Amino acid sequence: MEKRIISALVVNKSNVLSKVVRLFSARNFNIHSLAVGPTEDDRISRMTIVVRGDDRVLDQVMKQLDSLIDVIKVVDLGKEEIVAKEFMIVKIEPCSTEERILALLMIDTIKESRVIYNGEVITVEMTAREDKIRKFLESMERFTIREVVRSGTIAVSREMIVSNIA
Amino acid sequence: MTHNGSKILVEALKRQNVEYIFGYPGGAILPVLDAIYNETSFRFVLPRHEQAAGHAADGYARATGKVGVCLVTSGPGMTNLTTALATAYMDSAPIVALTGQVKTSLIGNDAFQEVDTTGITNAITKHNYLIERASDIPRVIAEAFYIALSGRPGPVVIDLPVDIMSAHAKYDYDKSPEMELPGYHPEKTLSDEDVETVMRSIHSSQRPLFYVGGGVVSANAGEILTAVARKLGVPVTTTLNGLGSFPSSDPLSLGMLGMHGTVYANTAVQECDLLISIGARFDDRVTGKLDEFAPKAEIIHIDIDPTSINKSVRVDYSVVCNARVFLEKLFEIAYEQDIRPWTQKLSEIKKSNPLWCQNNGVLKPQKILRAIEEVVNGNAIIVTDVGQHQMWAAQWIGYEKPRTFISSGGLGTMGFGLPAALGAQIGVPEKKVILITGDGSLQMNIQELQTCSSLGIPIKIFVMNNGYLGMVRQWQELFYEKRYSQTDLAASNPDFVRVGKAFGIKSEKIESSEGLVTKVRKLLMAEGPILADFRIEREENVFPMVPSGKPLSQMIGGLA
Repeated sequence: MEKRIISALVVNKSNVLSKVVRLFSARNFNIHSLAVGPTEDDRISRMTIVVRGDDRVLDQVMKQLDSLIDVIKVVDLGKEEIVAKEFMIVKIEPCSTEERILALLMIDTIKESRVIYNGEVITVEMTAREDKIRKFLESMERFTIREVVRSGTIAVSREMIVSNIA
Repeated sequence: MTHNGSKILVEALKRQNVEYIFGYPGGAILPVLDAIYNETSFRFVLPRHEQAAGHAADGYARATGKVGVCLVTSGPGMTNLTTALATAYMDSAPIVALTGQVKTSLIGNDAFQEVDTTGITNAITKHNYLIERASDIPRVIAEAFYIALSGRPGPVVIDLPVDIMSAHAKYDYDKSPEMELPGYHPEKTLSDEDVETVMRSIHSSQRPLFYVGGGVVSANAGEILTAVARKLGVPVTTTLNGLGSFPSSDPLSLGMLGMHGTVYANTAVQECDLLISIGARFDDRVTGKLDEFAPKAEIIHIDIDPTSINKSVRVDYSVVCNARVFLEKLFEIAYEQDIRPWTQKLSEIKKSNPLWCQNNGVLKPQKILRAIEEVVNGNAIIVTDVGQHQMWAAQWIGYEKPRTFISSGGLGTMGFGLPAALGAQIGVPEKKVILITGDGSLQMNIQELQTCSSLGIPIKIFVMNNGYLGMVRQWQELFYEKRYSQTDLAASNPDFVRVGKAFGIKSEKIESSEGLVTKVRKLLMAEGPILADFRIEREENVFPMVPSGKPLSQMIGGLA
């Protein structure tokens, strides 16, 4: 099913995150990723939510989100020209020198990545679109992946200023 | 001036013109109880269970159109209230629930009588608050009452930690608190174009039908709906909670639609070419099989709640708007429609497919309800519990005005009736309040007989006693080969007459239909609360019935 990106501005107070997350499970919506952080206004937080579903699901998700009193604004970023990136940290443990060299060479071709090798484990940091991160992880599957940490996508419209709540 | 949190709360409630608080004491709410000890501007009503306090506030709210207020302690007080909150949430009833909470420093410590109230109520309230500072109380109370009553109404919980209710803060009597609700915009604007589009659809339709629900009642739009339907000459069917929004006695009224709807209402839905839904939400008990609901119709949906639109049934045109605002505008441009073949056909179907019941048995529930109708003639508030008696009450009594039928429709909460009836009676003392209940439902909050008795709340309790959990038994009869698993209560029921008397309520048993109208009149004219234990035909069924998951055209028991 299609992935859709929603940006929601919410009142920055406790319990709001739990209200949003609860809504997804109660309405049987599938969250792919959810990233929450502060904004330029300390009274407001932004949630970037990636959901799977068709237009109908998206329409319901957005309306249900909007119906929460603490949700200020909900925008479907699928309709916008956007910047959407995810940050990932992955630890790879090569079993041999050959593997280590191959891994480092492969990682070196990815311009969005940064690598730290401590003699035992290769730690890769990467900031890219989610599909690129997925492809990279697939290419690393031939090695032993020890740990993957992903932020979930955050996104912003190039055109519109979503935070303008007036 | 400084006051403690409890006194500030009381002042804030007075600003909202609160008349009654339905509540139950407990440790965490002690400072608030203390602050209202000498308070005379509102009355405290003490039901015997927190669930009943919630339903009573709900009944009060539905009967009056005002916000119902209830107050309970933390932990079990609050968890007992949850069923009432969920009931009010499903039926969009405006309630503000004040819940005690343990000391702020103990929250999260599994303290005595602690539960995560906001966590638990996220799923069953329109909104909730945990008070963090006594100085926030005036703003939160103002917001809570506004949220509860505006837009699509619903319950709001305010959790009050006991230390904050004792802590002092400044309170300014002259200042109205400013609300901070940047994400809440319940007032929707309505364009002329929307109304004109709907009017054009009505005009080009040959077989239009209004399908209206509780949203018309809560928007106080019954009168204008009636005026619009009559001006257009378009027939009306209502949901359970829409009963009373259009007078049953009007020739254009088709009664209730859905699972236990009338033959003529369900036929009208399946045959119409334009269905205009106002303040209804296409509930599964209304639609039957979704993809065969109103198969020939263009569907227009007018609702204040955007999430209701396209949730189950895909509609062709929608307007997000308050029902009254919409209908007032529609009235201005409405004119009589030439749809005589349609209205004539419907009145023929109505004539040839009336509600019916067999003449066997000693005491028919349908006849008791007809007797009630004959005596009260639309001048009473009927409150029901949940089950067969609820459907009979919806079918066999006519409702002429909004807020005269009060029932747990969405959640279907057995035990709702008795406390809701006493709440309704307290809110509307000048009207007769009649509770139609069953032997199963009554036992789910039977302790409230004491509240009625001790306060002299003169509700008339009619128990349709068939010694069964009748609606479940009906399904077992029809769909589970008459295997009456766990539904036969006859041998284990108490003697309701003796129970009633023990609570100090005049009670009697009625076993035959001899002189039924006279008996019913006598019961309804009696002073104070009464309980009448009607021993009805045990295996009477509710018909017509659309089996679950079947289209509305497949009714069983539609014809005598």
